[in-house]
Amino acid sequence: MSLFTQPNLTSGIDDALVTTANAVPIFPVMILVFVFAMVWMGGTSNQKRRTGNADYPFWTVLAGLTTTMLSLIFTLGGGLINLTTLGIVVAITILSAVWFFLSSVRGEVN
Amino acid sequence: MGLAKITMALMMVALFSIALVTFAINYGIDNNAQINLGQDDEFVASQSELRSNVEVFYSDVNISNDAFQSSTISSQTEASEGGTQFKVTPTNSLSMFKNALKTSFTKIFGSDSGFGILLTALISIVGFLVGLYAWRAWKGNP
Repeated sequence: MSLFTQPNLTSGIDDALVTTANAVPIFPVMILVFVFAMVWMGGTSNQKRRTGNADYPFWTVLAGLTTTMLSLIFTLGGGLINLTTLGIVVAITILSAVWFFLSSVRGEVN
Repeated sequence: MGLAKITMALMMVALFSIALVTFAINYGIDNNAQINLGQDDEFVASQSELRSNVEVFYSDVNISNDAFQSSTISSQTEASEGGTQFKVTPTNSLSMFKNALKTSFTKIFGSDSGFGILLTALISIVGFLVGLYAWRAWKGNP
């Protein structure tokens, strides 16, 4: 017994993504969260290993921008993410930029 | 965090927000995206308000620099009364800076795109900093 109707993988990866998103609506959001967490945790842990300190605001902005770019690609076709999700992603990126520009942590860029 | 740094931080927050929202909207328009951030009225209104704020900052910097140009202090042994040697710096260097950047900005961002405000913001923040540094050189810490 399958959890949901299997996508037709012979018609392209985008069709498989849309079919999966139709069956499991949280799927695109899970991809965005995964990418955000991967960039954020990878960046901070690697920087901490190299320099002893992690610039958390910087990596939050970078993870936010990466997620925004990915969500913009998701907007090209219908059925992957909606306007509310896109708005939340952009809002999180802007808030992380506020944190970054107002932080006085010595990191990668200052 | 000093006055220059906090002003730059606030300006960069505004610029980042304008650039991100403008990019997202233009991306949707250029690629005929089915979901476009321009469909969200709150983001469009926020972007418009931020642009107005940057324009007001630009105008305020000009007014502030004009006031600085016409100000005098009592002549003392360590400071000249008019401070002309410092005041000549802002206006000349700002117009040169603007002209040097104008073509490059137009080529990259277009002459009438949503990113035009970035040049205005950059000019105004540099104008603010030049005025601040000239004032500090002439009279001391503001």
